[in-house]
Order: sequence, then structure tokens, then C-alpha cells
Amino acid sequence: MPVAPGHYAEGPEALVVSLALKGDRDAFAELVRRRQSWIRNLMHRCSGDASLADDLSQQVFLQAWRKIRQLREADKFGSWLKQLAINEWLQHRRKNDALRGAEGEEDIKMSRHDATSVAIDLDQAMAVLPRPVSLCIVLSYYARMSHAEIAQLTDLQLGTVKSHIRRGSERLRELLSAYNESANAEDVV
Amino acid sequence: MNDERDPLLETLFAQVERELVEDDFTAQVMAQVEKRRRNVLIGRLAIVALFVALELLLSAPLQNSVGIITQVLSTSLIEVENEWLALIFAPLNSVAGLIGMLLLGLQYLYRRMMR
Repeated sequence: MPVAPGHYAEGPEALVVSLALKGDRDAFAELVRRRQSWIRNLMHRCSGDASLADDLSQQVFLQAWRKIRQLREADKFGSWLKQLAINEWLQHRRKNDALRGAEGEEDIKMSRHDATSVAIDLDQAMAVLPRPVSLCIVLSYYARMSHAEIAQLTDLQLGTVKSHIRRGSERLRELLSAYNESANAEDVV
Repeated sequence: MNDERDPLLETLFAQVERELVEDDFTAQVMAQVEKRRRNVLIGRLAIVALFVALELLLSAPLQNSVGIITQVLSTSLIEVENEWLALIFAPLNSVAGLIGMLLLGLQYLYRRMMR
């Protein structure tokens, strides 16, 4: 049963959050509608799997509903939700890392050009990176967080975050070098 | 390395970001919220029902047991004729007093042994 955007669609977020804090489910549905794209994209980039990303995103919103009374300032909802999402991902990773075998570096065949192919190639390249490295990369490139913020959020040392991002970026550039070449070729033309 | 980002990777990450706003997703989340709310409510009702049932079933036997225990604990160890003396020494001259002293003795021994 689809949920209509409802009468909160135009309301400022802080107001909608404060209504959700009082247990208003319509207000919370509006927050889900507003924030789902960001969270689902984040989870997709972290997991490389759209359906898993949606499952994890749903868990994030459920956690948010359960814990919303712990939110002290309504205008911090976005960063609070981001924290919940990353915790959810870290928890999922902890549970599944034991099941995940040592993966060798796969030979990635880049398909290139349209947005779907880029997404597939990026997912494949990200899957080659060690999990902590890929998380730091996602938080830096997708979530646009600073190294210090990433360190704080993931409980990693700042130096470790910097090194993960440097190594991860280099590896991704290598794996996705075909895109670089095509960009250069386009520049020349 | 500062917080600088690789331009190629930035472009690719921006390229793959999709606008994902689906009413179905919102509906699924809200259905789970509703389910959880129902489960919490059912859980609370079950706990209340359990307490009521326990109260109904056990209140009479519990009251009896408490009465018997109180009676046993207050039983005098030595009969004292004088009422006032009996009242003054009641805390010591009773089963409860004996148990209390035994516990104090055990605590003392325990401390001696652990020192």
C-alpha cells in the first residue's frame, strides 16, 4: 500500500522531526520519504547489492523510529541518521565477515559508458577493496565526509583513514583506468 | 593527503548516484514500524496478563507463607517471664536473631579467611 506524501511534504525538516519525536507516524513516513534516497544509495555503495541495500536501509529507518526519542536536537536528524546507517552497515559487516572468504583480486572487465554500467563497474571495483577501505572510500566520495569525520564515525585512527582512502583511491583508479582513458580521449576530441 | 578527492572517482560516484524516492519503500518501512508497535503492545499486554494471573493464583499461598515465616522468625528461643525484658531482648532472643547472628559470624569468618 503506497504512502501518499501527505500534508508534511512541504514542512521544514526540523518541524517534521519534532512531530516524529512525539510519535507522529505520518511525520516519520515523511522523513523516510525524504531521506531514503541518500541512505539507500549509501548502503548500495557500501554493499554493492541493491536488494541488500534496501533491506539494510529499512533496518536503519526501523532503528531510527525505535531510538528517535534519543535524538536531542531536531536539526541534527540528518547526521544522526547517517550515524545509524553506518552503525547498521558495520554491524552487518561484522556478522558477515566471518562468512566472507578471502577474495582474490578478480579480473574486472569494465563495461563502461552508460550510468548502469558505471554503477556495475564501480560496484565490482569496490568489491575488490578490503571492507574498511571501501567504507572509508564511500564515506569520503559519496557521503562527502572529511577524514576527521570518518575517523570519528568509524572509530578508526585518523592516520588509518587517510591511508585507507589513499590506497583505496589508487586501487580504484587502477581498476577503473578505462574510464580515465576514455575521459582523456574525449578531452582530446 | 588532505581531504582532497580524486576527480575521476568523484565523477564516477556522482554519476552512479540515483534519485531513489519510492512510495513502496516508505510503505514497507511504515508497515514494519506498525508491526513492531503491535508486537510491543502485545508483549506489554502479555506481561500484564501474566502478573494478573500470578497475583490471582499465588496471592493466597504467598500470604500464608509470609505469615508462617513471620511467625517462625519471631519465635522466642528462651522463655522470658517479664514482658518488658522479653520485648527488649526480642531482636536477639528469636529465630530471626539467631539467623542474623549466624550470618554475621559467617561474614566474620569469611573476612578472616580472605584476609
